[in-house]
Amino acid sequence: MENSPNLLYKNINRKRGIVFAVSIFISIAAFLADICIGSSGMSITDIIETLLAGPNGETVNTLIVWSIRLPMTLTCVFVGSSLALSGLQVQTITNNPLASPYTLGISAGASFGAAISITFGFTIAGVQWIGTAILAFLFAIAVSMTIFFIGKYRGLNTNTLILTGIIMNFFFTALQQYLQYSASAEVAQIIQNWSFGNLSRASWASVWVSAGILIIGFIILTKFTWKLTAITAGEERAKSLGINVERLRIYTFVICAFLIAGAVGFIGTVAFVGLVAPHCARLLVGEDQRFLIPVTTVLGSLIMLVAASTAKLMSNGSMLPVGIITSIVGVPFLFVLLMREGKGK
Amino acid sequence: MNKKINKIAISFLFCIVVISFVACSGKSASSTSQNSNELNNEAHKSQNDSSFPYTFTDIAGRNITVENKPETFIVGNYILNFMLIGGSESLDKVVGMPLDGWEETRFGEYTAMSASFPEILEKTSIGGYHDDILDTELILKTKPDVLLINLSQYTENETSIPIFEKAGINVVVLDYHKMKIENHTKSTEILGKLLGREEVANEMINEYKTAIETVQSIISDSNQQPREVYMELGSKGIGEYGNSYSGTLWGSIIDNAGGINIANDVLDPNEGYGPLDKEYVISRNPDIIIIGGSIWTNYNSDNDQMRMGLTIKSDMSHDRLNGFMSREGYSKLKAVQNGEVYGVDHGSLRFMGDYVYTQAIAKMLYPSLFENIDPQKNMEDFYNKYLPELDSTGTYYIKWEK
Repeated sequence: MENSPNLLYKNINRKRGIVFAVSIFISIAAFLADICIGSSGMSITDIIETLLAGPNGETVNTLIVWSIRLPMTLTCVFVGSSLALSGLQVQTITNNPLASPYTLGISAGASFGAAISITFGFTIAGVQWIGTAILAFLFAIAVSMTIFFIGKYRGLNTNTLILTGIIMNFFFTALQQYLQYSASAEVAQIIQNWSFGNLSRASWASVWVSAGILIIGFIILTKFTWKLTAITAGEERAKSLGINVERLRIYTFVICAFLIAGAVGFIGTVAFVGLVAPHCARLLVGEDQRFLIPVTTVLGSLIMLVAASTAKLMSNGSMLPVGIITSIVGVPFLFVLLMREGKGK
Repeated sequence: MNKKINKIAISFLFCIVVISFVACSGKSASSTSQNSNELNNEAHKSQNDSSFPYTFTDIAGRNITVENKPETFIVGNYILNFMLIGGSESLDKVVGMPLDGWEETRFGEYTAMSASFPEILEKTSIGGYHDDILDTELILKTKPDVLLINLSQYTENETSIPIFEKAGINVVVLDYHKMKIENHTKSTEILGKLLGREEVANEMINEYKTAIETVQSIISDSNQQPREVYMELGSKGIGEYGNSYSGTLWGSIIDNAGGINIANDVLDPNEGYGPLDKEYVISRNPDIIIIGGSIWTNYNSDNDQMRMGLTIKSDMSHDRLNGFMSREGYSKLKAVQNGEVYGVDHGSLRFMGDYVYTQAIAKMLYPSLFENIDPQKNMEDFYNKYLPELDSTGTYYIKWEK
């Protein structure tokens, strides 16, 4: 009898382990499927041969697989993971299930940064897309920091954090609309398209940057797992366990800011992944951050991969923005979750 | 400690707000309108012109009768077409035009026209360049004999049009945007009549029709196979693919010039536009690549967009085109290996000189059939013939030099 709580705990953990393994397995399948989908209609054997032959081949197939599909699919994985992970931790530290990069206005800030770069032709070494990515990145960081410092001014009250985020969202959306309104039709279209989030902007640069930030962020966050789990049980409780809640929030928020900026800076804003993936993960493995962090990360990339493959299948030659699909795929997800939660209560 | 953080926080927020406002306000420059010398319309009307009253159907299908030869115009769009047909003196008849966003939207046209005709910037600005919304009150106050607008301005201002008509302003809808020969010629015919320059208009119409018909008959008489074209607007720089067109703008020109437009299989064949997928373009491995240029954002920016058109020197166009050809993997494409890569001016569409691009693209597709055609020279000749006062220095057509 004495062993039963332990046994129960072990069983729960085993179950969580299985969930994690299964989600990894499905994500790998989705990853492979995504590489196999594309408008040129290459056969699977060709794709495998090209992959095995390495990136230095001279053929058009090499170019398609190594310069177009792989960077797109890998960017998809890292962007999805980064958004999901940051969404999870923003929800954790604000103790609000509606917090996400999108609802906090960080994405809107990035879009505005991109719009400035597009409007004024801000370039790095004469290259437009690098200038745009960097301004978007900087604005995402700046907005996150603003939200954070205003929140801090009010003692990191969770309501203040969320409200500041919503205000930021409106503020930067309005500024971007102003730029769009004053721009010529062609430029307005470029600005608008940027905010859709399109994987056609993916490159090896976006892969390395988003992967680098994700790996560093992930490692640091896994060191905080117990503290973050404790915070979900309430701030007072966490403090009574000797956790410096304020410092934990600061560190986590800074990591999230970089994760979000790295994700949206290159490919544009992508909605819903940061909101939905953590909720799905919570339903599957509960609040224990040891499992919640990895499962959320994997689910984020899974949702992005499914959306990207869907976008590719739907567009066939032109390029449908993945950001539109994530929202369409995300809505039923969130709806089902809300219904289930309602029933549970 | 807390106070220090608060200070940092407040100054940080302040910085962001300031940066944002500065960024935005820099954009809203040149749209202030200046009241022009108001003409007493009635006094200037000539009653004796034989071709009036002039009854016609405009591009929106509206039946219009203009009783007397108009002396004053508000030119809601197509000021360049208006002056090409009316000659430089026709600018005196213009009492209003949109100046808002003109500089930002069509920098080349703005710079060339305001340099050659400085008084153009003193016209009353009636809005509607970038958002199609006209300043109804100002138009009523200015009260021109004729208000010329385009199709999208017509759609956006439908509720104001009965008010203009009630006030005795003839509203005439023109269209050069759709790039349809019938709309081009009909609009030119109407402008010719209204400006009393029917001969010029007819000459222009003949030139336009003959040029296109000649191209098409030469191609149909030859038995050469059509080839594949990828056309992209270089507005997004080299990092991202810009729009391609199907059935509209460059899409319809490629169709007219007897080419196979690879965008036709992907985009809506009627007026479709949008960027093509990188993978699609590379796997189609087109015979010819055309990059459309203009001046979209910040003339002084050393960015990587394609630059073409009025005021642009050809060195710059060649530099920018080189950038596009350095895209990853392009060196493996047929068009690049064979040097069949061209730059064209997007800003030179939607006016009566754009037949030059039907000739230009035919020349790209069938070089041996159109050896004698020089699109750059043809465009310069067109400007010199119809509006010699305009400094039309610019780059309208280039072939990539490896």
